[in-house]
Amino acid sequence: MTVERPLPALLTVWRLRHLAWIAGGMALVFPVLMVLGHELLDLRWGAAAVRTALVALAGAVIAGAAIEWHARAAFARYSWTHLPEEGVVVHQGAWWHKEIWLPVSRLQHLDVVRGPIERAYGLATLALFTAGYHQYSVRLEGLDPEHALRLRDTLLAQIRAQRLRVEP
Amino acid sequence: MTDALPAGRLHPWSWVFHAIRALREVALPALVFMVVGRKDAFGPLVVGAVAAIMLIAWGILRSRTFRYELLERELLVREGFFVRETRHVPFARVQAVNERQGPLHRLLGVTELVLESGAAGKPEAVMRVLGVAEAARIAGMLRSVSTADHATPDVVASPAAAATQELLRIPTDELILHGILSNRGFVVIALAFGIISQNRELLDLLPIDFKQLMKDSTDTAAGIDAGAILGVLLVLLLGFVVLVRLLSIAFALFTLHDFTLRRAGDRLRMNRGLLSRVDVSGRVSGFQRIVLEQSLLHRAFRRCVVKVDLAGASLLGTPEAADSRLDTLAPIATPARARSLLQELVPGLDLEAMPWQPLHRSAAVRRWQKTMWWLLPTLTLVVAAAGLIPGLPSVALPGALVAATLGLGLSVMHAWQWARWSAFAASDGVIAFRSGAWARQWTLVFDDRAQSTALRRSPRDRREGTASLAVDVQSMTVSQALHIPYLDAALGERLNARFWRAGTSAPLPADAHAGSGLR
Repeated sequence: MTVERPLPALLTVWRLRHLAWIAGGMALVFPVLMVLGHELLDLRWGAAAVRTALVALAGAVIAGAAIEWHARAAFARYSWTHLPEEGVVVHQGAWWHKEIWLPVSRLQHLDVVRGPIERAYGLATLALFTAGYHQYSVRLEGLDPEHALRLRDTLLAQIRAQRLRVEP
Repeated sequence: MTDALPAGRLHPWSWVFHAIRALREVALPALVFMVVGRKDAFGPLVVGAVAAIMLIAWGILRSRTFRYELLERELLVREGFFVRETRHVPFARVQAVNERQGPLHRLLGVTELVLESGAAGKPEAVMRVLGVAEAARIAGMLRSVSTADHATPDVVASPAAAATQELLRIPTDELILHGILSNRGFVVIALAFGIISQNRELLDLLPIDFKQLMKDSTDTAAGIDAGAILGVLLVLLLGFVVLVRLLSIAFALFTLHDFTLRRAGDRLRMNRGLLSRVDVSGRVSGFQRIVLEQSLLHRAFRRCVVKVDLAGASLLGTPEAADSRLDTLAPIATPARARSLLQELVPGLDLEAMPWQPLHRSAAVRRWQKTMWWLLPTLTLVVAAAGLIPGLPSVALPGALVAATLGLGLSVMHAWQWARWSAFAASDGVIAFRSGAWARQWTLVFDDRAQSTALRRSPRDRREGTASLAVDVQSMTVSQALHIPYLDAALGERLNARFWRAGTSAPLPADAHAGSGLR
């Protein structure tokens, strides 16, 4: 029963993910701002593009700083504890702290997920599913792939043992 | 498919109901669009004829390709034409057996049978439609088999449990009261408005000439003083309120006619309806949450509503799914009757005797601040509008200020009463939370039926030393099944520990279809 924390590489994965969001957001906003500058401020297309780029850059820097601060706070809080035979307790949330308690007996199935970015950084995610509705899944991110598989197998064995106790 | 075809077929009239359903789901909007869009008289006829043929063909195809067979321990269903699907539904997994019979069903002597398991989403089998006798045979078999198979041993052991026991029957005068207390009249009005707005021609059928009426009223309006207009408006409003309540009473009399709730062992069965008969069932061990509700009107008449969430509630499914499953234990009951009903279903549960504990002392202020988020901007806007818009009568600003002060006063009173009355309690496997100021509600959750729990702490919570507890269960509830805010942090942890102990020491089979008996 030890408190486990995600590998530091997870913060990098989160940063890349956020970077992708910001880039996507900028790609959406950029043309709109440019047309607005051209139409409303009577700028020539070139000038509109330059000003839009400056505004978008400033916006991206501010948003990036806020997201980076949030990500660090969330990473610092992110941890989980596997209580053998009992379940998993997950701590998460940067400002709104959340403590999720998940008994082994309520686990429906377990997924080990590895996306392309996670593979590149040697990480894996273990997703735990219940039969609930509002909170049917809890994800443990930033695991070492071997550890993720080990944890999955341990939990599976415990689920099986409990079911045998219930329905001999 | 090398297996022999299952022998059971749907009732010969089944195609009618499949066609009607298809008509309602897809074809109707398209059909209305096409008919309304065309101006010549020939087009709609052709389109209608083609659509009718397609619908009938679809109905025949769907009903002819549906086969079923009752095996020893499971129901075998094979359906579909393009995509053929074979399903094995073990009797033990069937949580609910629901029957629904509209006027047309009764005319043709058939009924719709829907079998549900604890899994959320689609029902396990929808048999649309069966002859009444065949449906009764299947339903009866499922009810007896699964009760014997899966109820907890102590339920089976007591011989009285196997006998059917009537828990609740609602007499007609109570139904009339239910109609007055509930706001279902608006459902009928909304329906009428919807139909009229779609078909303006219907207005011409009324013996009133609206255009002439409008013209008359504008002609004479100049000569009538404001008092008379106000009087007429008041009378109209009163008439409208009375009409809505009358419709609501009629709605209650039709839908809840002959409401009975019966219990046989672990199984609950509810019947209701005058034109459309509804016969639904569910398992007591499948209860996820019980909610008692009391509006201000209910409180004035000393009545309440008792609702239940069963495992796998397909609340978000089709409209008829919401209407045809066991979701209400008592549409209307006195608090005393509701309490005894709960005691019969959950031995040892007494709402009054529970050790109610108040929320944290910061609850009133925080609840009030939460309403301020929307109330303050709204009031500011109203006052600013009254003061700044030119041409308003001189009483507008003082009037708005008085209204704003009144609104603020009411919000303070509401928050204070809310915090004073809201409380939680834990006893005998049940965690309860009651909340509300004017309208009240009680939420009951069984500690061994939680799927997961979450303790949350906002920055404000951390300053005040509080937390909120959210509990997730196996049914599709609109918001969290149980959410207790403004809890003292230590008490919140203690409550959470109760759920944890129940979840880890008395393991519910993770495929909770089997359910766990109530203690």
